[in-house]
Order: sequence, then structure tokens, then C-alpha cells
Amino acid sequence: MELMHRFSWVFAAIGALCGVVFLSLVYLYGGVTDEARYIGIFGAVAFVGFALLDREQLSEGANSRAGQRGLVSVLLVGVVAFIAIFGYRIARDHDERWDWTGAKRFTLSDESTSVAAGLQRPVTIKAFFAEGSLEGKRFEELTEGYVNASDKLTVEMIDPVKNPIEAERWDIVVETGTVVIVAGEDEQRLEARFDETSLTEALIRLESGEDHLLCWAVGYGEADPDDDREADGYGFAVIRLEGRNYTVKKLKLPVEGIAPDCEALLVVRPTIDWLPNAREALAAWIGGGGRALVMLEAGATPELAADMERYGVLMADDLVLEDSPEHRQAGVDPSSLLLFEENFESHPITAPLHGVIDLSYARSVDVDPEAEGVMARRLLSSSPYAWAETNFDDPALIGPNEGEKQGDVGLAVAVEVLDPTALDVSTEPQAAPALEGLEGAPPTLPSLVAADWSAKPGGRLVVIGDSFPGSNVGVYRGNNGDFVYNSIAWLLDAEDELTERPNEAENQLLNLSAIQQGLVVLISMFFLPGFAALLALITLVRRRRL
Amino acid sequence: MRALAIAQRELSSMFASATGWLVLTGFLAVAGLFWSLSLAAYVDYSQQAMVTPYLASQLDMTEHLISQYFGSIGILFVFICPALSMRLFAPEVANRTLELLLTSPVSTADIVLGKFLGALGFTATMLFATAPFPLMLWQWGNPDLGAFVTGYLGTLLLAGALLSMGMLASAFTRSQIVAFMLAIAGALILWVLQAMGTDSWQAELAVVPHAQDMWRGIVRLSDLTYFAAFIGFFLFATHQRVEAHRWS
Repeated sequence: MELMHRFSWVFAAIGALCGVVFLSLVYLYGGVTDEARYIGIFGAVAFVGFALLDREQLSEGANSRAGQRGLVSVLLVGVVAFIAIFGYRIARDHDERWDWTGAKRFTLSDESTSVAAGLQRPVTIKAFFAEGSLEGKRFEELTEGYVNASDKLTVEMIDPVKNPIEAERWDIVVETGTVVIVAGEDEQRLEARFDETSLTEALIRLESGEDHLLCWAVGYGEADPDDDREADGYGFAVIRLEGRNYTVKKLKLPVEGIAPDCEALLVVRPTIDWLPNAREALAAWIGGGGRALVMLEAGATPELAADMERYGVLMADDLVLEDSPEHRQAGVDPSSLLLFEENFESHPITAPLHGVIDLSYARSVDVDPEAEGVMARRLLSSSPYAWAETNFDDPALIGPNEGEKQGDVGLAVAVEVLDPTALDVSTEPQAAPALEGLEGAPPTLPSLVAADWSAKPGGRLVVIGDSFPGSNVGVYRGNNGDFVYNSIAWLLDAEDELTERPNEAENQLLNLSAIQQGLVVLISMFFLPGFAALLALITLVRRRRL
Repeated sequence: MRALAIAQRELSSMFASATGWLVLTGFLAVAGLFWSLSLAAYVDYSQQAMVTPYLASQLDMTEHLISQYFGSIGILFVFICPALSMRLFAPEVANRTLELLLTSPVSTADIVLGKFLGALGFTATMLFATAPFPLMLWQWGNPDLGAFVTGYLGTLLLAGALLSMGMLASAFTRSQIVAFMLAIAGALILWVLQAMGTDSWQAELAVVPHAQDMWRGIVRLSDLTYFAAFIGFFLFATHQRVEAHRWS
């Protein structure tokens, strides 16, 4: 017994060692395994053994004044620990969240709130994520806003590993997470992206039975609606449109004309000038009450651009350049224009927008004040410091010169046709343009306008002097995507879709020149620490002098 | 008020010797290195995003630059805070100056709070000496100012938590090295606990997840309460430990 008493500290050491191993196992396996439990119990027994062997000393210590004060102190610390944990639990159970980001990135957008509030039937969001996964946690956070906005929405967080029957029932095969949104017999699934945009679009698809058919004109070198790889493709914009119950169909305009089932025609960045019969088909479409979005790049398709005049839209052969660094992307490129809220003209398309629209290599688009039979309104204007450059040959002449538009240059126009006869539509075959080197009369182009075409008011047209806002690389910047989608919604009279959508990727580009990067290194790594080192030196010298 | 006077004395003593300035120099040099590297990587990422649509859709300055930067500063504090807190009580016990302090007309609470505020003040000085970093970004880019404000708040609270824990360790020993080792072990345990899933009690106990949302621009009542409870508990425990010197 004497020997055991002498080596009682061994029991304490074994207890401490077991405690460390216990904690390590819990850390490694993420929970209390059987092995960890046995080791923990063994350690606890060792500590009890130590306490029993040294009970006299411990008792002596406890009976002393210091021991009693110590015991009271330990009890007080325990009470404070309990209060701290209890307080934290209350705060966690009634948690509040404040979004301090300038763009309110973690607050639901108006559209998402309105979609959630507008749910007509009970909707259940079944979120299958591994318990404790970061993605699951973020998604659960996201749904808080939706649940607060609607009493018809419920969220169930399900771990597919712990609930295999439920996972099998909903056919969950993706390990990284799947969200199933159920309303009655209808369901929508999210399997790749679990952000606000995806969830809102899924709810829109679930609730709206209405499909819109958009026809994408091809045949004159237009942007590719299926391209989601290249910077100038339109695949991303089309995916988002399809996520909102739009169907985008390619239309071979030069041979098919414009199909009557199209709800709107999209003409995006043609690189080959339209032939006269195609231009007449567009005029007949608009003059017959149709809707179209036309996005023309600077320097391209001069005939089609000139033909916009019949709709009351003036497009010049120019390039809008920006003189103010504040209105340029990264403050550098004069052809990259940043348009802020003050540059948005009053119109249902732009009214919900409060961010930035980013244009690149835009041409000027303006309203023809003398046009008859149409009501054209400007949508976007440049800053007062921009001008429309028309000289592309002599670099020395680049700058705001006499005769060039200067300040508040128009960049997009919306048109409503009041009197379609003013469009002067021809249903006759059109003469092909004369080609150099070919002798004789030019061939005749067949008319793409139906013989029974009749004029009808109510046609709408949006003309933008740039296709960048909807391109893959541009659509996520600021309000670019919203501007394009709102233009389409306005064309289709879909007033409830005129809004500012959630955008996970605001304008986040950061371009620094080599000099600026050098300056960062100089200030961060040398100037600031060097200044502190200098103060250290001064302090050292002063102390030595004392 | 006495606590503030003690805090002021602590803070002045930090800057009265070259050591304080040298710690600041080292911190700024490493933080500057982190910042330069993070910024260069982000600029590179931005340039790729100009021509790669997928990257453009994923680009996020708050997530990929600001939050990462504050995360790096957090790692630095795991080592710096124990180094700062180790000298709060251990040398006073070793040099027997604590008895002098305890016999002076200041309460133990004033002493504990004053020393804590002094150390926190020095940490805050270090942290806010990095203010030119966000200012540079503001000049050239479009950063989220709110994320910077909450990022600084989260990092300061993290430092406060680590300092309070280190102060308790310092009050338990007369050796600064032992105090440092105890504090750094505690800080590392609190750091690695986050690896045990986001919903586990261990992760809730971990200190970093409670700062992470603030590094992204979100302030939660539960996180603020966590830091208040954590710091409050360790200050109270330190108070009890220092009080024990009166009657031991």
C-alpha cells in the first residue's frame, strides 16, 4: 500500500494520457467510438484510483482555508461556464443575422422574396446533404429568408446516409448534395448549384405553368446561344432564360423567315449584314405586332443598323469611348463603359435596376425625334464625359471632335409601334445588293413575309448598341443580365418579371497594372514593416540614451 | 477607470520597449506578405476570368480575397496572442511583483480587465496598422467595405478570445514558456475542433467558425454571444486564479 501511495502519480499520469488519447480519437473519428469510450472510462478509473490513493492529502487540502476557497472558486467558475454556455445556446436558438455587405449579398433579392411570397400552394424543400457539410449549412442559411417570406414553404434537411430509405424514395444519387422541391405532384431538382439564383428559378419553374418561346435568329453570323465556353458565347444567358420557363429555339432566318409561334425574336450580334428580304421580314414581324430584341456591335452590319431608322432608332457607325476613369472598367479601357443608376433612363426595363451596367465596344443608339408612328424611348445614356468616336483611321484624331456626339450618348432604345404602316413594309421580293465584279442585274431575293401579312399595332423593339451585357463573360457583371432579361420581359409584357434578380457574382474584377502590383508589394511588405522597424530602432536608441 | 489606467500602462509598456515595435514589424511583414500573395493570386484569377466565362461567374472578391486574408491573419494570431498573453501574469508571479500589485488599491477585477484590455489594445493596433491594405484595394477595385469592417471586428474578437485564454494560462504558472505552450495548445485545440463537421458540438466550441461569417460580411448574434461568453468566462476564471494569490 505504501508503494502504491508513493507511485499514485502514475495513476494520474495514466488518467491524463488516456484523456489525451480519448480526445485524439474523438477528433480523428469525429465522434465517440467504442475504443474511445473504453479508453475514456479507463482514464476516469485511473483518476478515481489516484484520488482514492491520495485521499488523505486531498482531504487535508480541501479542509484547509485555501482548499475551501479553491473549492468555492472552482464552483463559481463552473457556474459561470454554465451561464456562458446557456447564454450562447439561447442566442443560437434565437439567432439573428445582419448582412453588412454593401451589395447585401447575403440578403434575399427582391425577386426571390417576391417569388417566395407569391407561392400559391404548399412547397416542401427536401435538402439532401451530409450532416455537417458546409454546403448543406450554407443552403440551410439561404432557405431561412425564403421561409421567412412565405408561410407555404417548409424546409427539411435530410442526411442521405442516415436516412437511406428517404434518399432512395427521392432517387438521390449525387453524393455532394441534392435538393428536391416538391409541390403536390410536381417537383424540381437542384444537383449542381445551390445558390439563390438556382433556388428562385426552380420555384418559378415549379409555380409557373407558362412557357415562352424565344426565337434566336441564325444565318448571319450571330452569337451562338449554345456556346457556354467562349467569352462571347450566349450559353450562360440562355441557361438562365431556360431556368425561367423560356424556351430558346434557333431560327434560320434567311430561309425560314420568322415563325408565327415565336413570342419574341432575338437578334444578337450578327456579323454579316442582313439581306434586304431579311430586313423586310423583321419589319413585317414588328409591324405585325411582333416583338424583337436587336443587339448590334460597333462597326458591324451597317445596312441593318441603318434600317433601324424606320423604327425611330438612329444607329451611327461609331464607337462610344469614355473619358472619365470612374466610368471605365478598372479605370483603364476607354471602350469599356460603366453605367450607373444615373445613366439609366426612366423606363419599366431600367426602373428596377440599381447597380451597374457594363458595356464593351458599344456603338451609339439614339431616338429619332422625327420618326412617326412609333414611340421610341432611350434606355441607357453614357456619362457626360463620353463621346462617339467616328474616326478609326488616324489615331492622332481620336478624341471628342467637332461633329461627334459628346456627353450623354444614347446606348439603347425601346420602341413601341403605334402605327405599323409607318414602317413601310414590303411583301414583294427584294433586289439583292449589287456585288462587285458581277455584271448584269442583281438576283431577286424571295420575300420572307407571308403573303397574307397584315399590319397590326403593338409591336415592340429593343435595340442595344452592344451585345456584351448578355455574353458569357458579361452576363454576371452587375445589372448586365437583369438588363437583358428585363428587356425580354418587357417585350413579352411580363411585368412581374421586370425586376432585379439575385446575382452571386457582382462586378468583382480586379485589374492591376505592373506598377500598381509593385506598389502593393512595396507598401505591404516593405514600407509598413519598415516604418514599424524604424520606430523600434528609435525606441531602442532612446532607451540606451536614458 | 482603474482598469483603463492599467490598460494604458500595459499598452505604453509594450511600445516603450523595442520588443513591441519589433513584434509589430514582424506581424506587418508577414501580413503584408499574405496580402501581396493573395492580391496577386486574385489579380491573376481576374485576368483569367476576363476570358473564361465560368471563372467570371465564380469570381468573388469577398470570398476569394478578403475572407482568405482575414483567415491568414487569424492563423497568425494563434501564435501571436499566446506570445502576448504569456507575459501578462507569469513574470509578475515569478518576480513576486503580483503581491505588490495585489496590495495596491486596485481590485483584482481591475487588474485582470486592465491587463486584458492592454493586450487587446496592442493587438488592435497591430490589426489596424494593416488598414492601408483595404485602402489600396478601395482605390483600384470594388471591394465590399462592409466585409472589411466585419472582418476586422471578427479578427479582433478572435484575438480577444485567444488572449483571454492565454491570460488564464499565464496566471497559472510562473514560467512564460509554460504559459506560452499552454496557451498555444489551447488555441490549436480550439482551431482543429472545427474539422469535426459544422453541426457538431466540437465545432460549436471551436473559435474560428464563429469568426468566419464575419470575415464574409455577416454578423450573427450567436457569434457575438459566443465571443462575449468565451472571453467573459476566461476573464472570470483568471480573476479567480489571481484572487487565489491573495489567500494562498
